Amino acid sequence: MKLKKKIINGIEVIYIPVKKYKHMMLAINFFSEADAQTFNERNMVLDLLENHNYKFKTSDQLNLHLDMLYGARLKSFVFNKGDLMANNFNLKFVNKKYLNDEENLIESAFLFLKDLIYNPKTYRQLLTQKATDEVVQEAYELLQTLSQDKASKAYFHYMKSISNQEKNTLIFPNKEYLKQITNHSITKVYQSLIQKDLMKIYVIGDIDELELDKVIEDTFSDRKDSISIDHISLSHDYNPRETPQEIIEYDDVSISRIFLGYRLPITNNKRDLEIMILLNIIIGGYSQSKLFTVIREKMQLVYYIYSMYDHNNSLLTINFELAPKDENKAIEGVKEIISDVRIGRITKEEIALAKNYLIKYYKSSADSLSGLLQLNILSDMDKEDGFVLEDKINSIMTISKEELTEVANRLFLDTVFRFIKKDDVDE
Amino acid sequence: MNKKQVLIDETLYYEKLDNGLEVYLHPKNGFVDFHATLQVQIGGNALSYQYGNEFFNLPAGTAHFLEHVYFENDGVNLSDEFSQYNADINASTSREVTKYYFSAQENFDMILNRFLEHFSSVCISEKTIEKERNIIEKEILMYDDNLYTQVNERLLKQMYKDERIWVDIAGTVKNVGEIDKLILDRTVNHFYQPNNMILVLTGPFDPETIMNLIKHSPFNTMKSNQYSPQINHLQDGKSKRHIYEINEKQNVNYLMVGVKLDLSIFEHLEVSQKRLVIIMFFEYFFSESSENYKQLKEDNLINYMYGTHIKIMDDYAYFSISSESNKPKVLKNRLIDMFKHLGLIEKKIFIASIRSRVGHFIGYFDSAYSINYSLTDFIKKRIDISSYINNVENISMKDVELTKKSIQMNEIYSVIYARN
Repeated sequence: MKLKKKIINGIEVIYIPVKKYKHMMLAINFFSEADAQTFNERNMVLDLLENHNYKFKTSDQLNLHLDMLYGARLKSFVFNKGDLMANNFNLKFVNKKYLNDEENLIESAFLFLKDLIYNPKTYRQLLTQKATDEVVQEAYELLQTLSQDKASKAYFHYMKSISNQEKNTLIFPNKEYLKQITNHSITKVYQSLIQKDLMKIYVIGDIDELELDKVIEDTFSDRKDSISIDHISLSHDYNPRETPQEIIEYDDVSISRIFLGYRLPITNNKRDLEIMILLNIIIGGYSQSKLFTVIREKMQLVYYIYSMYDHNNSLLTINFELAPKDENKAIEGVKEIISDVRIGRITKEEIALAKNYLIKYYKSSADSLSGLLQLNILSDMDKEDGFVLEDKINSIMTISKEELTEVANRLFLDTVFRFIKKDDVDE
Repeated sequence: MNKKQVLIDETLYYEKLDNGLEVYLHPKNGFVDFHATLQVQIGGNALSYQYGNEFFNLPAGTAHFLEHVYFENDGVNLSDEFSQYNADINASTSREVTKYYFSAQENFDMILNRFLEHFSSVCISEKTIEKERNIIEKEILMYDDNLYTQVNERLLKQMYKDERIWVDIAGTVKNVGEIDKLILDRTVNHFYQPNNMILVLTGPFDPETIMNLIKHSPFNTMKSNQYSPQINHLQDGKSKRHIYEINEKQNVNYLMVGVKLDLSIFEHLEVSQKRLVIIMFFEYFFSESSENYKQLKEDNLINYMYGTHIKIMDDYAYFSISSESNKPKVLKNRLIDMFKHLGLIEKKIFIASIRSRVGHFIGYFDSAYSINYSLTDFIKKRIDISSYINNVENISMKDVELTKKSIQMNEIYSVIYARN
């Protein structure tokens, strides 16, 4: 697989040719620098565009159009790598060679996305008040729903407590800023997105390059004055805490939900990142991890326990649910595992199994249409020439026990968050 | 071995072994992942069943308990063993079936053989039973404070007296305490027999080689019993159709409305067509693209938690709608009114819906995982995958509109859990 990069009408275009899939995917990304002030709007504008379009007057008209494109799937979402943020519009559609139909689905797919992005309902050159009110209302409803679902509420509050008012605020929606949203503020973000953000188009599948070149050239007009994203940091700054905070939140729950948040001061050092990803697998990333085999299988304290490494926020989260009486025992057990890792108590077998697991994960991701697309987009954000599976495998295979121990020693406990029933505090 | 062309470049191989096991092989050359699923016809609904001329009762959660203990045999844990081969293995229990599955990228023949060997003879130890009982009790507690789960179970309790339709798949802590080795061994004997299982394999393999391997595995020496367990559901509901309860600890009001469907009117249709016409009908009238949804949204009666659910079994079927709402009583009455006044289906939407299903079906073949998952599901529902596109394209608007007649207006139920 060899990537093709080119500029068409001032837009960077990346083709990822793979023949084995029956679908194609088209992603239009708008890159900008993360900003806490406009974080809500950045997330909301996607939903607004889907539901308040000039051509597709209602969401049912939009869905009807997608159905007519043989069930094309639209996904729009925001993601970030450090402070580099992407608003992504993603369309998956069937390759026409599997259909008894003459319609040019590629052209239709591009036209659809163009209409979706560039043709919203407006009034006096502003996105409408009605559309704004709706997306703001939905954000409030989301917050209300989160407060009802105890598992989500616990996670949401844990993330808020650890985020410490950082730059991109980590989570959407941010209640503090919701009141400030107007159709003027959301229009400003939208205008910035379509006019200033760096726009890139990615296409993956069984590609006819010449056909695509022409469709893109005919669909999008010349793009000028896009921002440069070269200066944007691909790691995320955070405010380190001097001593760990312990937060207890009470609710009407039948089980205790515990989060331990460890921070890792690494910048955009790819080697450190790779090591941390492997270390996370060893600690709690799968069924043979230390957390699972000790806290669940040996101590039998929990039904599930896992760790998750979030590079964008330099955060390793360990989460589990359990009976209130076992809280302290489990927390101590987790801390002991982290201490063990720090002093190099990781066996050769644990490292080998975790490496195999991670390599299997990358091979599987690179074997799926959407996985391969996302790996290539992330690689492009890293200013690489595309995702190369062999390079990734080689890099993982060379990680040593010493490197794992060294990174583990840089982990420090930031937050212990307990979401529990009032009567069941374990003294 | 039988062979069916599913798409222009996709072929399904099938054979029923002498011991009754049905084997489905779908090669996916050019992909790296192998996926295997062994599906056993036992799920959360196995509370009481007929076996030959006898009737048996089981504590709720027995099928799920078996799923937990079935990876251990004679002190060997299959999950630990498979991790040495870099294979992921897992299992799940639904209301009707239990699935054991693994994925691997190398040594597939050897791993499959080990998988089949394991499932050909499992000895469940007391030690494993006690260990898993402890873990399952913790699992049950996890869902205790989920409002959706509570309302859904309550609605089904009103709609069907037959607890096999609604009882929690994992059972209660009390049920789990009642399950012992005797019960588990007898349940294995009745349900875990080859003619009550299917095996579905997908990945970059040669089907002849794999079929040969299966025929020479210990699994092929397993025998099926004279009888297969039978579960027939009862249809009756409770006389109280509408429930309204207040719980001040809730932050939101939650409503669920359910209606039973009469399946007898679809007898002229093929299985996949029957399912699809019902699904297409309710999508047309109640999906987030529907006119009804738009109305409810405009009137501020629902929020984005709005959702619909369709259950179509051989002997019962229902449709339900749920949402948080500021006016749950008004919403309930509006939904019931909507059931009574369903109009006609627009042709352009019907055509789009058919096209959409064709596209999604083709998409199943884009990974070994998705085709394994979909194929297993199709087989469970007795849908012929090789004629799926043809059957979809031959559905008429009249067939879809027929669903209106299947709605049993005297069998509408609702549950509201309100915050004040």
